[in-house]
Amino acid sequence: MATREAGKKMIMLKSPDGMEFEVEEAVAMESQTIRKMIEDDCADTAILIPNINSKILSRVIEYCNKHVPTTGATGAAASDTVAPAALAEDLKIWDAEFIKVNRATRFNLIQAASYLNIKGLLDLTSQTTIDTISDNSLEEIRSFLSTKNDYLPEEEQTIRRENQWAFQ
Amino acid sequence: MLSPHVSSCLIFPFLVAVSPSVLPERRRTPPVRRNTAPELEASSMASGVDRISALPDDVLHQVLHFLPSQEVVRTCVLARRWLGVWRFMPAFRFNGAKGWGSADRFAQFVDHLLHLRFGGDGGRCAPLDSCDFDFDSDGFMRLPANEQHASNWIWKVVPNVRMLRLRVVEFGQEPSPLSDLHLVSQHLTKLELVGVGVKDSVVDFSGCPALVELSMDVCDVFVKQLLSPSLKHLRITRCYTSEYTRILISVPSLVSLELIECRQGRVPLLESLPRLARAVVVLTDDCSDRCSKGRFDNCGADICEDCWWYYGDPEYGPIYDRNNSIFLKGLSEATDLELSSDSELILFDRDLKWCPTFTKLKTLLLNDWCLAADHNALICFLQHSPILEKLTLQLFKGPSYVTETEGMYKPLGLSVASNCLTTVEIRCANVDSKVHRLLKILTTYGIRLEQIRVQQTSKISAPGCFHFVCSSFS
Repeated sequence: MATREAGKKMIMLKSPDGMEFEVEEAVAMESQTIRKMIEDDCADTAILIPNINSKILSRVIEYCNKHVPTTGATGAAASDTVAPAALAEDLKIWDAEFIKVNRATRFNLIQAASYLNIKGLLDLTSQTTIDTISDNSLEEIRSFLSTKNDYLPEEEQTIRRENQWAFQ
Repeated sequence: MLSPHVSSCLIFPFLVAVSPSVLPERRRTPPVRRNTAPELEASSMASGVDRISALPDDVLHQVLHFLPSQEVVRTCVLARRWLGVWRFMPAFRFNGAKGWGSADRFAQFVDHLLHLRFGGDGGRCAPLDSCDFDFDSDGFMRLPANEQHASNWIWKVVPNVRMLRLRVVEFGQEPSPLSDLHLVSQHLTKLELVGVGVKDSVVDFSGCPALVELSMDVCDVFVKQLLSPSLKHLRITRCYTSEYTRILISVPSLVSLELIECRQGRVPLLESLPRLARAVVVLTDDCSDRCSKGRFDNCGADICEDCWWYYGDPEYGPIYDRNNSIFLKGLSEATDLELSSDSELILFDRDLKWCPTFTKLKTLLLNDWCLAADHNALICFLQHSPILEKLTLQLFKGPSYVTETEGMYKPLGLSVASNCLTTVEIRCANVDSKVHRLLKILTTYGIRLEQIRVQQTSKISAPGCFHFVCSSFS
């Protein structure tokens, strides 16, 4: 994973399946949850990230690596010579590629982004999910979300009637 | 892939109102299809796990907050798990009457939802994180009755929300008025107004002690004073203001100010801003603080109204002190300043005569206007910024027309720039005679050529920076 660079503080992240990821502190701090741990001095050696397996964690780190604001000598030069709009466009294209994953992975990423409190990743995964279920029928959405309709037909009718105010 | 009977629904086509004639038709498909999309079986369903429903409510809320509120409520018919999810949504998004058949139906929906969420008592429930009203798409606010609806909703929501965004019309249309912005809320931290007409004489946010961020875009802001003891970030972009009076900005806690492209009217009068860190001011030709004859001082022509009322119009408001700075004084505490304007704008230039000392200023960006009249403004800033570290000059326009010397800032003889100044960056289309003259001026003020970096914009996509190496000027 990340290689140690001079002058940059590294943080070890551990997934429950035993994998360890060494990342720059700045990258890890893209997660507000980890940021808080570091700021509260709870991150001396390694941080165990519960409920997020190594496959998902590595994707999350990949995302944070890309989105961490560049700093230092090379970073300053980059931001000076490339217009912010171009950088944003580049990130958008990268995001679009990044999120081309199967839905199980996407739901796992949502969960991870939520737990780790990474707003950009949560927005990206959520928006993609909402976009995907747009323009589909009820059954298609249920099936996409893997949600079984456990209402009895008469129950569903009652619910629709009670919530008629929200329907056209 | 739309079912034939549900093609009218926008986001969730299945969630159309179910009239008795529709319901049986829907049932023609198997009532509960347990094995619909084949690809699904390869992923989550094969394991029997309903992954999205397994997410905790707060995560579902995060996912759903991209949907308009009616779509969120409609998820209640998906399955039992979803029945009450919408009830605790921390954010609402109302996108206007489009898709509702009539504005009344939409209004009833919003009334109903807000009533359920906040109750009749004005709400002792947990505040919303955010509420977003976007009426731009369908001209909902064009009818006075709907304006009244909107005002009522704002009043109902404001005490119970942290972030409120109200978008009434898009750029290019007349902003709709929102009467009475004397909002009262213990929770409101951020208010964003787009295309709203603010016509109160004084906009007073003292009733919102948590408010830290206010943004106004393409708004009509015909007010005499803007007041907030708590506000830290103020952003006014593309707004229309009075041509005869200046808005008095009384926000002592302000940390950042952005004033971008006034569409009409005068730059505001800033009261003391002791905590100001960053200010960005971009003025265009639409601003009234310009002289049509390109002079620094009052051009004296009756037809030049912009000059005529520069110090106020007694019929409309106060008269401003002719022997004091109108605008720059308010920015004197900033550490980071960007001042850009069209060359002919006179506001900054006139102010230079009473230029304050920028005792905390570390980074400064100026554009072409600072070169007018023998680099008048540039020299003035160099002399009044004792701890300046970085100066950036953006030069993209042709030569300045302003050559007037009467009444402007007079350089204080020989002087040197800040000892702390390490970098001067010049961004220009081409390194021409203008840049050469500039380099000469900078070196006169003790800045060494190796501290100066010239960046040609034509090379901006490639690493186009280079240090300008030059041993002498011809």
